[in-house]
Amino acid sequence: MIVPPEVLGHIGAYLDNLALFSCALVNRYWNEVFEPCLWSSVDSNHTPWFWTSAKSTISMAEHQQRVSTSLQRHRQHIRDLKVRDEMLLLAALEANITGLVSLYLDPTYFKSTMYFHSARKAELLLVSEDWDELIPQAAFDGTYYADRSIDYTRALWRLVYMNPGLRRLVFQRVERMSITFFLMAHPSVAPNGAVTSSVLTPTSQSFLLNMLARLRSIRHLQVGQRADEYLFCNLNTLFPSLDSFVHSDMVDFNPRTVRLDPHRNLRSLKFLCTISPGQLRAVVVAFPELEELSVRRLLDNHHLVHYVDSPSSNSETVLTGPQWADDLVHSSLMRLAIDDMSFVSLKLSSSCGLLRSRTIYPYVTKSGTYIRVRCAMDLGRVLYVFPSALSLQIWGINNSSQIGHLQDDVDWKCPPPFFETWGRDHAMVKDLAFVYVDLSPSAEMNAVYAQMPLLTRMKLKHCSLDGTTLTTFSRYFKNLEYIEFNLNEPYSKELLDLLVGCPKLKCCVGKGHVVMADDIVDSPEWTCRELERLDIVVVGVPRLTEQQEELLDRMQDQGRLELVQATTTEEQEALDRRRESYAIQRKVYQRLGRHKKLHGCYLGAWRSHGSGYERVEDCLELTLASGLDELSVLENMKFMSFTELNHRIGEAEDLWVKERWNLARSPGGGIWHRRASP
Amino acid sequence: MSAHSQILLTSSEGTEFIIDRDIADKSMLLKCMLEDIGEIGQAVPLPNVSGPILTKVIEYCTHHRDDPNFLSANDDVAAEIDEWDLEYCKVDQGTLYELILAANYLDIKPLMDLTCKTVANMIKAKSPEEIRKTFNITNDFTPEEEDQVRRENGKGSRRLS
Repeated sequence: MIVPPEVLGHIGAYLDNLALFSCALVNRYWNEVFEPCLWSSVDSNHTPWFWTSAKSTISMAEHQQRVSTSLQRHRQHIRDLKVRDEMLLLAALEANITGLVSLYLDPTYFKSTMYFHSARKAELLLVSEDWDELIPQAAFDGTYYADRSIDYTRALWRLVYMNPGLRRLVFQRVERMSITFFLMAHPSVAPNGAVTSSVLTPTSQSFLLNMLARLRSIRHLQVGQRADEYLFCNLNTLFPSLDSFVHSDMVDFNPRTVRLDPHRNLRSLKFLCTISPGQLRAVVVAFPELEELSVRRLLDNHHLVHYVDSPSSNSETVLTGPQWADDLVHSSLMRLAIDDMSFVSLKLSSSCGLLRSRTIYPYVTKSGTYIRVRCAMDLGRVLYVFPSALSLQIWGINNSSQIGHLQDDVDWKCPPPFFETWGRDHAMVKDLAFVYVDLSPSAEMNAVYAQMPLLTRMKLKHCSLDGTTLTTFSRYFKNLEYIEFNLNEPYSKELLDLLVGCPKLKCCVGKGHVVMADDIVDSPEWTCRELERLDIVVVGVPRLTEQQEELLDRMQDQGRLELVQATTTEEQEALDRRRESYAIQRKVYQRLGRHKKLHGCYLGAWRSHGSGYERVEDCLELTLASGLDELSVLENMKFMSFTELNHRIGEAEDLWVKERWNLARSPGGGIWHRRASP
Repeated sequence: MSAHSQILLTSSEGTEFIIDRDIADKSMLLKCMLEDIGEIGQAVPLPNVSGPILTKVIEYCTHHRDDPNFLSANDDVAAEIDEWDLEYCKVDQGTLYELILAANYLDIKPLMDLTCKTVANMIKAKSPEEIRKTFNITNDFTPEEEDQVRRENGKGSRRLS
């Protein structure tokens, strides 16, 4: 069957350059399709032909020649270019690449002299008179430039100018000051005398306009270079159809005086910088169609202090007032990510006023988003202000860390109708992580759990957890599929409650899951038929003393063990003990064997003990004689980890595991797993 | 028009399929057609899609019926394929190709993305020879041509330590 080229091309979109390279070598037809794919995206970091090394036999000049020739040959295919070094920049200019759709410029690792073996050519490309008018040297702030780096900036802009069809343009933010590219600007002085944002000079402003006015198809823009401030305030006039804007630096606009024209088309806005609550609010009002907003940090920090929204001396972030909620009810915001909200945590209730609307924020998913809470009430409050959150990561207070200012007395009382107003209809949370949260049983916590009937994944880290809480989980979370937690104390029966009470449970992992063998044997049916992974430390298995083992070994040697011929009471006791031990172990294995989908098991012989670990003497033997063979019904076993110290695994077991599941003991011991095929 | 209205489709061999309108709407081709001409009560002929493949396509659209992110579901190139989709794609290569062609023809972007991604996964980390073997392709390059492609596109200068 002949697959049409457009379909093959579509497949190419999912392949990396190495795979595309292989595809281009398959046959002529594939080559026709995949060679353009291979060349449609050029990134010096991910392009095989660009790689070279110190061991390379060709000279740098030859390599540069190769790169130039290659780019020239394929110039009509290149759509996406990521420039991270001078060589590629020069080659792209030389090849006169004009069909770019996406251009990413990262001058972080530009060096001013290296690579330039044909410096004359570079000069020709970089400094030519016709560019002086379009990209005037005066538009850039010479004080920030080392050597000739100003010419590289101009060369980067020249590449932009040559590609008016760009849809994405990214000037990566440069951290290293030595080669920072800055447009010429005057400092701007706030009413209180503080030096704040920079205002572009007329020259740099008109240069910027000349450059960007050509880009009629631009959808995604990140510029920086002191330009983002100016652009941001004029987005609507300059780029009415812009879809996504990244603000890389210096959000120094005054929310009280700045005029941000409402922009109807902007969907995504990112601030890779600190922003004050007042500024954030101005942004949300100005961009009513915004769906995604990402902020590195929400904070009134020192250099923004003259923009504090309330003129009081208190510089604490305050987002109060009913207007907040009103502004945001009309917003279409779907995703909000604030990387660091810790500084507004004290005023959570008021700051989250901006999130109170019930119709927005279906997702609060970004892993970096965390909210500190100090009690169940706080948690409830979080759920209240994120009514349709699907995923929550809740950070409590780590008492051992130094966060003195968070220890202030805060009135955390919630208004009485609090839990009632947060109805079941909004109980969307499916994925919940607690970190440093005290999960001691309480009525408030129970009320919170009751609001999450759909919960499927739960991860607990550094949470004080006791048996009652585990039992509560099993009562409320009927949809739970994955749970991860560590225990410091054994809660044998309660842990088994999870297996009994959560029918959808697939995965129960963590440390310190100590369970008594007797409890396993006596526990009601485990309803979790889909169980795939289980970490438990089975204890309470009657095990023989060393002397008894020795006695039995001796009987074995003498051939009396099979005949069960005990000659002394000690021997008889040892025999009885072993019989008793095997009986209970076999029952445990039978229990595990009922879960046909089980494919991973940690059967440790250590239990956590306060801060440390303690070796468990009375664990499963993991020998065939003790009943390991009951697990032969499990077909999908991929790994089983154990501790060799106290299990009695021998060669027979290794062989059996190999035959049954094709698993081998890892060289370091402690786990049977699938060996990667050589 | 009501969400419960039904559409009649005929596959290439003339088999008739009755599906709900909201399922038909997953296909941009059908959606545009139905919006333009309205529901005329006649069968929509799909001469490029065979009965078994159409069944398979309908199965996909039905499973993702209430998926709110249907159109943007597979935008993330690196995203994992979910379990149901993975299982769905466990078909022989011929069927997989026909599915791609059907998705392309019916313009069902998520299905197109899914099937192409599946094929892409079959290609990844394979040498050209292994790819030829997998897809039963004969190499019609002369050794010189192959060497030239190799030189121009990569390995020649790839001397990473």
